[in-house]
Amino acid sequence: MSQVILRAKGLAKRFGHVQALHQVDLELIRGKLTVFLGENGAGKTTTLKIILGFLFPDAGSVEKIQQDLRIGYVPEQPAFFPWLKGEEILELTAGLFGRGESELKKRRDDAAAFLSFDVSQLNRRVRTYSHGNQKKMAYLQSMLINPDLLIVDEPFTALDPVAIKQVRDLFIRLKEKGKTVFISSHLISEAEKLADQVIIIKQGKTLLQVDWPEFVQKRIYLRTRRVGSSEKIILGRWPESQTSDDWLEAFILRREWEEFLSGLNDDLKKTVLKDVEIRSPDLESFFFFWNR
Amino acid sequence: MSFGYPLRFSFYLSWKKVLRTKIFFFLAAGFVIFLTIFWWQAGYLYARRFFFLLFPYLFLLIAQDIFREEIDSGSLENVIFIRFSFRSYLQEKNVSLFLLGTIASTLVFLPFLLTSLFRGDFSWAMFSSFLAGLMAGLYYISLAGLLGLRLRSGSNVLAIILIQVFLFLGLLVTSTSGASGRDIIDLLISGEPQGSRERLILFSFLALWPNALTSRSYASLGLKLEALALIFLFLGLQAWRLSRLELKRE
Repeated sequence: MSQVILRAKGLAKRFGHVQALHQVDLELIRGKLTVFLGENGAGKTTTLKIILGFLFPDAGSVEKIQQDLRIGYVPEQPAFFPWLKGEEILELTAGLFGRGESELKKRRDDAAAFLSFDVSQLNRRVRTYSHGNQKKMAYLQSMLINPDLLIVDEPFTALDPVAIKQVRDLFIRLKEKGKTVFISSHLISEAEKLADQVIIIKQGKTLLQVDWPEFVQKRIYLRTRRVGSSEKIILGRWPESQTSDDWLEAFILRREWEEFLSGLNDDLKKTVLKDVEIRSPDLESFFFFWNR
Repeated sequence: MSFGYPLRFSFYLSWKKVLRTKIFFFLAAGFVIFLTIFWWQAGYLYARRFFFLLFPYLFLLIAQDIFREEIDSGSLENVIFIRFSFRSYLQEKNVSLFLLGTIASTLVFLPFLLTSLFRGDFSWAMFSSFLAGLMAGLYYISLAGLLGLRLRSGSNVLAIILIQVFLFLGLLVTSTSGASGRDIIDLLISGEPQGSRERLILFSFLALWPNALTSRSYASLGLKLEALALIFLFLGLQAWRLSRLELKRE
């Protein structure tokens, strides 16, 4: 049974005249990777910062269901105290989280090897690192504390293709260890490879949270041009379908689709099957479906 | 190294920052060189007097960039501050900077103390002046911290120094403007107010230039309590502002 470790309910936040969040609800489940999707300005980063305690919500609450939840965090653009060297930042982090010197070195070397991070750089101030290495440094720092929950804002920003794969592997390794990962990303293709849960946010409101593998297994993606009789038939059966100028789209249950087809006479069935494109749901179509 | 306590953590960060801030070293070295030259040219007693009047500025110096730069840079949006509140860390900075200032001041004070022992003119009043200077230092940190919640890049310190420059220019003009002007200067030198108007003038002067606390003329308990009340006021306002602080960098 899935175990919720953190729950946000009814989050709202206003910055001056801008209502950044209206109603954000989400649940993070132990051992699952949750992808947080939304357009620019939808409220993803604001939500993450409220969860992390960097912002106060105007309304709503964040409930950490697991006691002593150890949270790691990698921001989109990590920044460090400019006067500290990489090694000092890691020592400070290890010291704060009660990690000894030997454990620090073991965890540091382990994570550095995994991310191909050259540890000799740690003798320099972090502000002298490249953007990619600063991002890796933020991962290294979070790995040091052995987090129960890792929150990452745009995990692949500033990383080269090799590092992107390494980060993806890191998330998989964390999941295998029963850790929870929560990422906000615009790189849908990468997110799709990892997603267990998908949350869509639009204009500061959570539209939905779905179990992605289950969704893919149980539903199909249906698309048809808005010409011909099939559109009316589909809309009549699934009024929640989305329409754009040219297209009608829907994510429908496979079972319902099969029942629907079996209820049509042969001519109608042929017409519908000729007009309608059916495939397994993909995250990009899903995202655009909810962001029309 | 264990940083189980926020104060130790804040002290470590402040210590490293001061160690690696070149301007602090240049100005602190300038202060020591100035005192050495003064000692050599005008003698020990004058140098000691200048030390007491000026050493609270060491605190002002290390309070530059106390808050805003760190808040805006994004360095507080770090995994560390999920464990330890960044608001507590910023508040603890008052204490850690005060400790750092006290260490630096004590190092400069020691030669004066040892010389007085060697010369045989040691008096406990030296300690009283030193403690009053530490209080002035804390006053500077609390005020610079309050200003530093808005002003960045050392402009919190610059604002205080500019106000003091205008104060002294104003006093210079006042001193040449007739009998009433000279009365004010006499009052500020004696530190003994007669009536509520003079008391107000003296309190205002002290609020703008707390270094005066180190002078024996300003040894009265009332003046010390005034400084202490202002320190609590500044720290209280800081705490209130910090408790509502958010990291809004996008």
